Amino acid sequence: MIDLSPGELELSVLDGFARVLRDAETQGWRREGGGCRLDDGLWRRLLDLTPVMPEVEGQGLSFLTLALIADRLGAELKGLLLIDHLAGVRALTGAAESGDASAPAALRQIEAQGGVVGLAPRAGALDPRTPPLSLSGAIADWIIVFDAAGARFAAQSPSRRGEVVGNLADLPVQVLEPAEGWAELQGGPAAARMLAAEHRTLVAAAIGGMARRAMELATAYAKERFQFGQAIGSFQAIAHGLADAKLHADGIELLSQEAAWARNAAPERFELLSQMAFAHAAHAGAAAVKFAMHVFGGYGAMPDFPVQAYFRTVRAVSLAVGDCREARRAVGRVVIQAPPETPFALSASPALEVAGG
Amino acid sequence: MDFSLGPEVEAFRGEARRLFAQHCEFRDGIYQDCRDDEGVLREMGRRGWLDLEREGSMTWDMKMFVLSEEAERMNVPLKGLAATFIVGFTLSRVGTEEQKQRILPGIAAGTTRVALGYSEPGAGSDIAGTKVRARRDGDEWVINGQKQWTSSAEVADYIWLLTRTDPEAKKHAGLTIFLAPIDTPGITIVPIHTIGGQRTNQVFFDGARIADSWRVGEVNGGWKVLSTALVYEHGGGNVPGRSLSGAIARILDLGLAHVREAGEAACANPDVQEAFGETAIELELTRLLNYRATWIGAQAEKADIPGAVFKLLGRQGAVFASERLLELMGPWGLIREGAGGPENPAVSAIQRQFLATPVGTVAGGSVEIQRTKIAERGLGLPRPPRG
Repeated sequence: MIDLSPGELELSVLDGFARVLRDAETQGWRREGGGCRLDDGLWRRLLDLTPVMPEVEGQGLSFLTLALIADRLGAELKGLLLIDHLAGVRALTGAAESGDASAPAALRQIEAQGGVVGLAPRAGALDPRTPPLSLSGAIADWIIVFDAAGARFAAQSPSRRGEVVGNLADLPVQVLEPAEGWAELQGGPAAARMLAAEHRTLVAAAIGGMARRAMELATAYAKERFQFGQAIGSFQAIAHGLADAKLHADGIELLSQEAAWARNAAPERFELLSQMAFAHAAHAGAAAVKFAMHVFGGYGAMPDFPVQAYFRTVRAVSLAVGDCREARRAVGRVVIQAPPETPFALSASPALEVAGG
Repeated sequence: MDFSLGPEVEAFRGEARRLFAQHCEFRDGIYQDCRDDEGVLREMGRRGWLDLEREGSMTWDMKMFVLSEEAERMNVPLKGLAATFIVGFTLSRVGTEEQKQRILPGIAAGTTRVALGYSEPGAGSDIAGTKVRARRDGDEWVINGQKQWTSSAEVADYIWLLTRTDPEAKKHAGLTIFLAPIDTPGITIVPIHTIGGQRTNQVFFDGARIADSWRVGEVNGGWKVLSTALVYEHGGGNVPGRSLSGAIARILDLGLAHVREAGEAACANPDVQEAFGETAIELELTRLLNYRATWIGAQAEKADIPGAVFKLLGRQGAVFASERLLELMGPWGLIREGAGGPENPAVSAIQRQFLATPVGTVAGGSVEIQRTKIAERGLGLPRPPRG
């Protein structure tokens, strides 16, 4: 039966994250010279709070908890690299459990050294004409590239560590190069699809946090900014736009949480819900942060005002993960291809057994 | 956290489907108009599904959610049931024993229906601006004036009537509510037909005399009674009746019936897939926001803001869905049913939804009212000056 309250464990973990993120002085990495490097102190604190695997043995956090964490990371715009890392470690762990020869060694190294796993979705099979991007590639020790056909992973080349390209958000983005030494991740397309679904869900949750925080910033500003002798929040054009932004933020939060819940509780719906969550987050999240920035007038576009960072980052992470139109089409295909006797294709309930009878 | 409805509620969904299917024809891939709405209501009453005393239980609320969703999807109107339950719940809190005994058993049996008499020609969103006048005359009240958009009055046994009893008092202070038998002499119902095929009504009061025993709450205490009723209308719980997710699901079903008939090329069209995907996402969101409002309401917390968020999304979503899928019909979408052109039942049904769904964005508190509520009470934004 519907119960939307996080459990005690979740609340305790989220409380820990709130403290760490509040005290964090960086987003998880620093620019240094012409390149960048990991903020080791923050990274260690984040890892300490996030035992990922093995979930099944009760030692790790559930996937739903990871989605709640992603929401908080998005809201603070700090530690976003943890999202790709968590999804990546889960994929490597899954591969190791399936007998992958290389994954266990990678996991041991990651655990021993606090290594960072970066993801490169939309890999395009390492096509040199469309080289894949990794949002945290510049500080990653291991990188997994994946698309619908499969996933491959490799250790980051020492010569490329720290090599960052400027990007829409303040993220340690790296453009990957086709290289020797990529190992196929055990599990083939199925493992890659699971990784993609988990990654989409976590990113959607993070966008939900970004949308909510941007809406809160704009709401606070609308109460203190006066024009025509009144707080601008009293004007319906502003108030109703912020109400819509709340609607967007609430919707993203619920849909990404439902997808994360389905990962274990309703696995047959997980991939579909992850597509829904991402498609909605990319679209509605962008709308929410755009309006939030608009509320600030010209100040919204100034680097000193944090709302613009949400505007940039929502778009950046969406672009990195996938095409929201394609995600909607993927949902549409599931709906259209459902058996005709189940017109209510998206119901969690049994097929419409009475149709026609 | 749990996003499932649980086996009891899902089993109930199956029961509801079977009952509705007995009264609905499934033809051409869609459910046709329900043949016997009154029969459905009576059967629901016989099965104990309309038991008002179960209000507040999460299981009952979610059962009412799936019941309403299935009814809407299968084109069973359950006409007047939502208004009836809003009044039933309110009456069980603030009514006299006599009123409860006269009304509530009939509601539970599915034989008594009530229409809401709030809106007037000059009082829509600003319902406290009501002008229908009630004057006391001994043990009776004499009612004069006009109500507007009084849906289901044509099938109702009573009208839940907001009146002005003290024109000199401040706007919210001079109001009183009555539960007036609809067959009272002096009450005239005049139909209004919408472009979407819905019927609503004007109700005229011309010296209608109502016994004081039909007064609900104190004289001039109508706003307090109304506020209780509005909690049910705008709050988190699920009164059985209209369903926003059911409306979107029906539109989705209708579109599917059409596109499957259109063949593989249509199904493989990326634009078609995207339209169905977007509609399916709106359906899922509407359900989730409804779950949340219901869940918060069941925690005995105020759920008016989650309720407003849900209604804002769902009402707009139904409009968007019908527009989007009508667009997919191409020129077929413009042909009116029974007007001499080629007939396609699914297309006609989508066209009816296209014409009918915009009313949902103004009925029972417009989407602007929902936004204002979210902004002022949910986000704490300052109110604009109001008269």
